[in-house]
Amino acid sequence: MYRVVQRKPISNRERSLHLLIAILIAFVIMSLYFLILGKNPIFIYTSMIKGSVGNKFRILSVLKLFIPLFIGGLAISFAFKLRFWNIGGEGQIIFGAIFASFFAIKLNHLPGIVLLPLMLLAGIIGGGLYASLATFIKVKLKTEETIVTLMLNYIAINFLTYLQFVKWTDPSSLGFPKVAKFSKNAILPELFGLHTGWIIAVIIGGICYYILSKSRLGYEIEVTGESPKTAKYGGINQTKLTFITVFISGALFGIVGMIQASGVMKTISTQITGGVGYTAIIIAWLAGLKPKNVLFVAFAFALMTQGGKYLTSVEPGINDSVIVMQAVVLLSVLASEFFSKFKFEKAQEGI
Amino acid sequence: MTKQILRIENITKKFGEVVANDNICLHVNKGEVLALVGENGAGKSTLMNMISGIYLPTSGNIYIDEEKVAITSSNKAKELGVGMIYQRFKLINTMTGLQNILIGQEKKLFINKNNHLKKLNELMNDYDIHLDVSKFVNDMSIGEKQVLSIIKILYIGADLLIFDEPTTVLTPDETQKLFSIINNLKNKGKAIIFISHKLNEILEIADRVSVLHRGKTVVESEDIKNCTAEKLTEMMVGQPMDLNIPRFQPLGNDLLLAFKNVTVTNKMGRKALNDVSFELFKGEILGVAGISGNGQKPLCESIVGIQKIDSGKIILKGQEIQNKNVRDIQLNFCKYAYIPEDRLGMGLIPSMSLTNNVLLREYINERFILNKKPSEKLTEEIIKNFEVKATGIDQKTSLMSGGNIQKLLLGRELQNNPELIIASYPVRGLDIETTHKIYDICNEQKRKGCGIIYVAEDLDSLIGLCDRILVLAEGRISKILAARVTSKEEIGKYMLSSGGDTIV
Ligand SMILES: Nc1ncnc2c1ncn2[C@@H]1O[C@H](COP(=O)(O)OP(=O)(O)OP(=O)(O)O)[C@@H](O)[C@H]1O
Ligand SMILES: [Mg+2]
Repeated sequence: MYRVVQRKPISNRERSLHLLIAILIAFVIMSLYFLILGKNPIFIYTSMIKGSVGNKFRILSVLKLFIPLFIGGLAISFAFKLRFWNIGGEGQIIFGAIFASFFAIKLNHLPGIVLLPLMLLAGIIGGGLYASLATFIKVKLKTEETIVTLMLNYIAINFLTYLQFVKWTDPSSLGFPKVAKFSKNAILPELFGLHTGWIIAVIIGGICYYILSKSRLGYEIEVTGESPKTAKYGGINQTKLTFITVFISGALFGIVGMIQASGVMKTISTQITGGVGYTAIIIAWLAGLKPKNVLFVAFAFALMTQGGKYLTSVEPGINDSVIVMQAVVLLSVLASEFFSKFKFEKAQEGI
Repeated sequence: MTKQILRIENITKKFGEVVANDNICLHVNKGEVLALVGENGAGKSTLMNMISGIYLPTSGNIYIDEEKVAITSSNKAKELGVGMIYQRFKLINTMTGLQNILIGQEKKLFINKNNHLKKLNELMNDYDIHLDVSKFVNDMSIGEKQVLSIIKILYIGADLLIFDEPTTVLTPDETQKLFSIINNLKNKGKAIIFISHKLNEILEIADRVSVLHRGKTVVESEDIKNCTAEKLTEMMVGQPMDLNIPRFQPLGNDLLLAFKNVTVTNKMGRKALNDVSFELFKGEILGVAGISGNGQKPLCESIVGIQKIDSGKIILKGQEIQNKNVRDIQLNFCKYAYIPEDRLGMGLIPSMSLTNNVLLREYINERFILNKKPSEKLTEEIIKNFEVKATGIDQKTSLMSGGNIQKLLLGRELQNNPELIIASYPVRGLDIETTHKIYDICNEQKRKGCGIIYVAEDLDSLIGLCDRILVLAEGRISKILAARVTSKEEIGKYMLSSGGDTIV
């Protein structure tokens, strides 16, 4: 007879080993799956690897996908540590992008050195304020933030649709509903072939790591998330803390919006989020809400996404399999998490 | 010959490097109460958790009814007739008592409730237990919840009942009720293991005692029918110990804290504090007696700013502090220590390390980036001064024994010379030595001019330690007594009256 028991905390090395095994198992399962489909798994994996790291251009694509996932994962980490379930990343990205685009469109005569920081600031404020709306509703009306943030996503996307189709439509696009491309000074310049959003991501990563693990704010967030009563006992002003933390979470998503608009799309459209607001939740959760782990998990996600994209271009009709593969990997990783925390113990003989 | 219900032979339990139980032996007979005692962290709870199927032993044997068994799960323990009553009751609040008893009883879709109810009533009659099982658990007092837990495991058919510090949360009255139930159980041939740190309880209820010390057996199931408190202490501590609480004269009448007609209304609209006025002087220990839930918590919490008051004034060091927030009081008015009654729900975070829990008081003067060094040093000092049993300052707090968790809290609060101490049941769950150490610390702080509010249920310690005793009943002060001339009976009388001075 076996039973599940909690195991003592394992070392990071052991944990990485578990993770590696889990990923291997996932690939074994997927190989069987591809074989059943009559495809050569070796070919599929090599094309995926080729597709994600095969040449400089593809590596850059991976990094481009990585930047929003990384910052988004950090954004979720902040809110979730406080047990504020921010499902509103999508809306916050959109509002960050809208605020940034407003300046990109209206003040396009400004030089880039002034305009870009202004857009970044606008992104921060747009995302942050939009998230604060949810805090405000929660604090004032005692509503569930999950529902509120989710609803705010729909409002945001509809508002953006309105802007794209009515208010900001490019007059020279001959009636096609799109916003004009930003002028050059509103576009993030490239460095080493990648838009400078990567520099912003690096800086933000460092700051978030410091705030969450070394700062007073990070400590208060952790205490309050774990036990609101103890936070009260310790004198933490929870309303203020919630406003600050959720603002940071929204602001980070807002930055994602600004980077995607200015660096990737070079305009704004309803496609701006690419689902990052939701994917970030999975990433942050898998990373255990730890900034360092968010880095790795986000990168793995970017690799898989890019590999999958390439695969669909060389092996038509495989779109769905890519999604299956991502799901299988995800489940294996979750299972390995389970085995890192629990183990099966054989019961003594003689029952 | 008496029948052995349980025998434990050379049980060892290791948690990684920590040896919590080291070759422990003990036995319990039918119709007997075995007291299991030992200092905080001695390994009592761990041992009991192995008998009730929570942990598996690393090595050693367990015999039930002279038969070797492997207790691999709590269900297995139930089958073998072992039932444990936990300190945090495992009951479902939104169900009635009856539903809680029947849950998991039969794996059938429909249960014949009347049938069960009849059997249940017979059982309660047999043991002379009284409880309205149609009541929702939510509406039950702690004592009633405990009785319900007992009925539940009896109904499953337990022959061995384990109580892990059952009396720490009970009023003296509820304790007496529990003891009469235990005596009935005993007379009907059940075996009982009873864990407690309170000498008088052990002497009153137990037939035999087993003493653990640092995970080892010191005394194995010895008869204590003719034992005295002194002898029992010696068994537990390893040497004779003075059980008297020294008392010193209060310093004088330098006012530290005053309540003026303070009223607090709780969520249900009842008056949790009703027109409360009293004074606390520097260098004085003011005891607070009363049946728990009669206003002790709002009284303590309103001083530190957690509880808002409806009317009245609270004056601390000459300044009004009512309805100020916690941080404001901490930083601008007074260095206080507050030991709340629910240590794991408020005051400590079980999932955090020891250092991070100490940091809760230390970090407030820090700016942006935290410097953990002082807290780390302080944690080391607390571990040393309070003999906290932990693997290190980075250990997760919840992995320590109950008493050691309490010591960490006490250490953090008392370590840096507060001006005011508010202690709510501070010695709950502490062993005798540590309990007396806390009394000593209170006295020492008192002599340094600190004012102390000391909430407790144990009237002997209140009378021994305090200068004056404030008795609360239904949110009112029914009397303030001079501890040197009062008696337990007098305090008890005022605990039951809410009418103020009308009782003579
Ligand atoms: N799950 C665990 N992991 C690691 N150590 C543990 C665990 N449970 C208990 N211990 C350690 O085992 C020792 C014995 O703990 P136990 O809870 O049995 O003590 P106790 O006698 O019940 O003390 P108390 O009177 O304070 O309740 C302690 O030092 C404790 O830190
Ligand atoms: Mg214990």
